Parts: sequence; structure tokens; C-alpha cells
Amino acid sequence: MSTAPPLLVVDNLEAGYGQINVLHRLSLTVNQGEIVTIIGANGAGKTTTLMCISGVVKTRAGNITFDGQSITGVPAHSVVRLGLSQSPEGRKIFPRLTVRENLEMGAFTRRDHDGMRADIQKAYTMFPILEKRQSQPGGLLSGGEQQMLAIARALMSRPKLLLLDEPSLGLAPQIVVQIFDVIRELNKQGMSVLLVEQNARMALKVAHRGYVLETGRITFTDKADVLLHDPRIRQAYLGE
Amino acid sequence: MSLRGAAGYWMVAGFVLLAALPFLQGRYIATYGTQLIPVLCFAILALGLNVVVGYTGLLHLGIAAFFGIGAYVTAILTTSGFPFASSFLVAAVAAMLVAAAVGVATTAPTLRLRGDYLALVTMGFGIITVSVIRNLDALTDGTKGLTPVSPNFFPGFDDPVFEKSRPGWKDSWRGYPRLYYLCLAVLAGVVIFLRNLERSRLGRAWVAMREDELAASCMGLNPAKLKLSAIALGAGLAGLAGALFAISQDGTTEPRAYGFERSMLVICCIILGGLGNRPGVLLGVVLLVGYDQIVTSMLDNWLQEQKVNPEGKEYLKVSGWRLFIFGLALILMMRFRPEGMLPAARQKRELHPERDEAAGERAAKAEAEAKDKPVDRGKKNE
Repeated sequence: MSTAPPLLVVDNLEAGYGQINVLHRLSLTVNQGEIVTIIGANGAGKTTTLMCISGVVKTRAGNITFDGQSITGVPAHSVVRLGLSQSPEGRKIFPRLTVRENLEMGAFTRRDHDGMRADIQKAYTMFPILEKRQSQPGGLLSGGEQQMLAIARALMSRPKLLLLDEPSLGLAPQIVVQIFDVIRELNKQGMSVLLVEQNARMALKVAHRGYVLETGRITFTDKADVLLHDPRIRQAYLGE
Repeated sequence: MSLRGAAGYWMVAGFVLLAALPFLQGRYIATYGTQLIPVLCFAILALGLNVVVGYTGLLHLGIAAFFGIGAYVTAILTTSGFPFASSFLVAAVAAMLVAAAVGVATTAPTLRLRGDYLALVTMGFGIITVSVIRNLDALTDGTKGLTPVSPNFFPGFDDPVFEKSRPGWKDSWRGYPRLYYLCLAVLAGVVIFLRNLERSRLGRAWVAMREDELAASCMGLNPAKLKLSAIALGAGLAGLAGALFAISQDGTTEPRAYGFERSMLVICCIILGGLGNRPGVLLGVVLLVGYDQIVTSMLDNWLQEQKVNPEGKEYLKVSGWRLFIFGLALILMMRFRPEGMLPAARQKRELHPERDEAAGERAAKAEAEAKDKPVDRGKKNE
């Protein structure tokens, strides 16, 4: 990439719930303009990692630095203002708000109404189906449409880094392809992405680099195409 | 949408009718007109609770405690037993502020509780508050209540004395119908204020947090702040309603009036009418409180006149059956129309999605047939 300092540095992160530690000295970096993916099985700690970065889950030890600024322990609602936006697992759209209202909520931290309107139009260009459904409540969209809405909503705060948690969850293969095309397209426009996925093949195809997470520890990390061809990864995560 | 618009018109028509009421001559107007004043107070109380339960989704079962705090603050600031002798205006503002402060102070430690757990804590808070009022003799005069509450309206001015302009009109602002008009005006002000608030940044943030707290905080909303602001506003409105209620009753009445039963009555009003929807909440108040305050006493008097119940036995009075009738009304409501009589558009969609889905599917099909195919072909050709 470039010589610029990394956008996100996670250093020796520890986190957990109750008496159980989920993450053990986890470190990773995301550089400007990169798609980085974390792959791993159920319960490996992928979502917890993202939740720690976005401030929803409290960290127990370690440091998180974003854009040259420590965000360890900064609450979720403040992290968004620094330019880090999360599309949570399971989409979490507001079911009774309309599609348009969902998008407007995504821009809650902003006050420039003209820019917001322009960004909503941009979202509609990216996902034309959302424009057709703009006055329908979010809860009535199909799973794929909801995922598109969740990504579009996360973009509404104009983040520097987009955190995507399992965007392929529960979607038809065709829709998954579509979603990943959008992720690639966003990255071409300069967006940095940290992508958590169980669908390792799709994730590694779209990402520049990857981390493999096993029971709270990073076990492999390399360029995505290297991981994609690594026999151990192929056996464990790609079903060969 | 059309229903919502219609409800708005009905609401305006209702206000006009209520405003015209004191000018109508009739056997019942003066008698029952006075009893409409508490109904208006309960309407403000219910709108306050609706901010907390309807918009923000925090099930608060102790709203009557804030109502009581408002009434007692007003009484303490204005009755002769205390050295304050404030005007009503000052007392009402103080009642709102104290109620809001108590709301924030008691909610702050419970911010992490959700759903049923929060409901239990707030219920406990309501019950404890009534016990405190009953036992804090030095301040509240125990079960007797503070009386009389008859302050001047403005600070620094003696009350204007009105010439009796019509038969049945009292000459003080606290008499019927001038107090009635004051309550009606305050209620109208609250309705307009809440209408604007619903469309504001804060109003939408409340709704988003009710929908999904995690997603809302990922959008940059601060859940703690939002919850506290909702409770502050709800409790403040309840305090204002309490101040008006104390004036209308010329005292605080007994502490029991601010207990669990009253909280439940207000909860029933907003559920029956339509959670989160102002016209619905007002309709619920008119039906339940109107029934409770006016219709039962009308029926009881009528039964008395008909010599059905000459000894005044409780079980032959309609008022003896009021809680039973509330319960029955709620059960029937939950069975046949769980979204309330005038639901907010959002709730209606959720509980009857088939209507919306059918409409959506029809629209999508029509669109697909009309547009999609040519567009898709166009894309493929590219």
C-alpha cells in the first residue's frame, strides 16, 4: 500500500463476557484503502472483535488506535463521530422506520441536510431497490434488501472505515455475490473495510489481506490470495 | 395516512367542542363540566407517559408518582402551612422541574435494565413514593393531604376578580369554567409541542432507540442520554398535570390518588387508545377516565333516582365494578385489536403486516411488470 500509518491498529486486545475471556491478545491492522477480512468459525470471537472496535463491548486489555487516535474505551456513539461505522451482525435495521428514515438515522451525527440528501441519492444509485421501497417499513424488506439497507445506512455517516459483520448471513448465493460486488466497488472508491465473515471463500476473494481467528486467537494472517490457496485454510474453511 | 389525518381532524373537532361546552346551557353541563377538569389533567399525564412508553419504549409503571410529586410540590409552595406562598405559575414550573429531576435521579441507576426488569423497578418506585408521601407527616400531612391550594395566578399580582359573565361561572380563575379553559389550553399546548417534538431529531432518536438499541448506538445515538431525556420530559409533564390537578381539587387529596392503581389506569389509557399516537392516547383518556370520572357517577345517580339501590350498596353501584370493567376492556382489546383504537402508523404495520405486505407486493409486481423487464434488458444489452 502506502507509507501512511495504518488506519486502524488493534494491539493485544482482550475482551470477554462474564467470567469467560473471548479474545486473547488479539492484534490486527487495517491500512488506508484496504479490505481486510477476519474469517473463522462460529464462536471464534469475530463479532466480539468488531464490537470492541466499535465500542459496544468493553475491552479488558489492549489498545485500539483509529486514525492516529486511541479509541480504547470510547463508547459506541462517540466512535461513529470519529469516522468508524459499523453494520452490525443480523443487519439490525429499524423495522418500523421506513427505508428512507433508516438511512436518515444513519446520518444522525451529521447536520448538513443537503449533503445528507445527496448521500441518500447516492445510496439509491448503489442499491436501486431501496429507492423503490423507500417509504416501506424496513421490517418488510427481504433479507438481501435489509442487508443492502444496513450497508447503505452505515455509509450515511461518511465513515473512513466501514466495519461489516457477516453481510452474507442468511442470504441466497446470488444476493451474496451482489453484496460483495458492492463492497469491492466501495473499496475502489477509496473506502477502507474491515469485513468479518463465515463465508471464507467470498471474503478472501474480495479482500486484500485476511486474518484467521480460532477461539479468540489469530492463527494465520497473510495476503488474501495466499490464504485462499493455503491447503490448511482450504481444508478447514473452504470445505476441501 | 388517511386515518392519521382523520384522527387529527377529530382531535381538533374535539377541542372545539370542549371549548364550546361551558357556553351550552343544560342540566348536566355545570355539574359534569367541573369533572372534566381532572380528565384534562389525566390527558396531560397520559401524554407524558406516552413519551416514555410510546416513543422511547421504556415500560414505566410508576408515572402517577410524578403526578403526585407535582401535586405536592404545588401544595407545599402555595398552602398557608408553609412560608413560600408562591403563585401558581411559579409552583407549576417548580412542580415540573422537581418531577423531572426525581425522574432523572431514579432512572439513572436503572439505565441498564430492560423490559420487564425496568417495569418492576418503576413499579416499586411508584409504590415507595406513595408510602413516603403518606409517612412524611411534617411535609405532606400524611393521609389528610395538603389543603387548601388556592394561590394567585401570577407572581406579584392579586388575582383578577371576574364579574360573573354567565350563570354558573365562578368569579375566581380557579373556578369552573376558567380553570377548565386553563387546563384545556395547557393540554392543547402540550399536544402541539409533542407533535413538533415527534418530528424533531430527538423524537426520531427516541423511536430509533425503541426499535433497536444496538443499531441506534452504532448510528451515534447515546442511549443513556436519550432515556434520561425521555424520562425527564415524561415526568415533567406528569408534574405539570399534578400541579393542575392539585389546583382543581383545591388540595392534594389523599396520597392513595397517586398510587399504582392510577399508574395502571394511565397505562391502560395509552394502550387502549394506541401506543405512541397522540390522538389515540387522548381517545383512550376520554374513554377510560371519562368513564371512570363521569359516566359511572352519572349512572350511579341515575340508579339512585330510580330507587334501584336505595341503601347505596357497593355491588349495586357501577363505580364498584370499575376495575372489573377496565380489565375486561383491556382483555377484549388485546384479543381483537392489540394495536389500540387509533394506533400509530408504525405499530399498525407491525401487528397487521399482511395488509401492508399485500399492498407492497402488489406495488412491486406492478412495478416489476411495468419497468423492471425493459430496464433489465437494457442492462444486459450494455
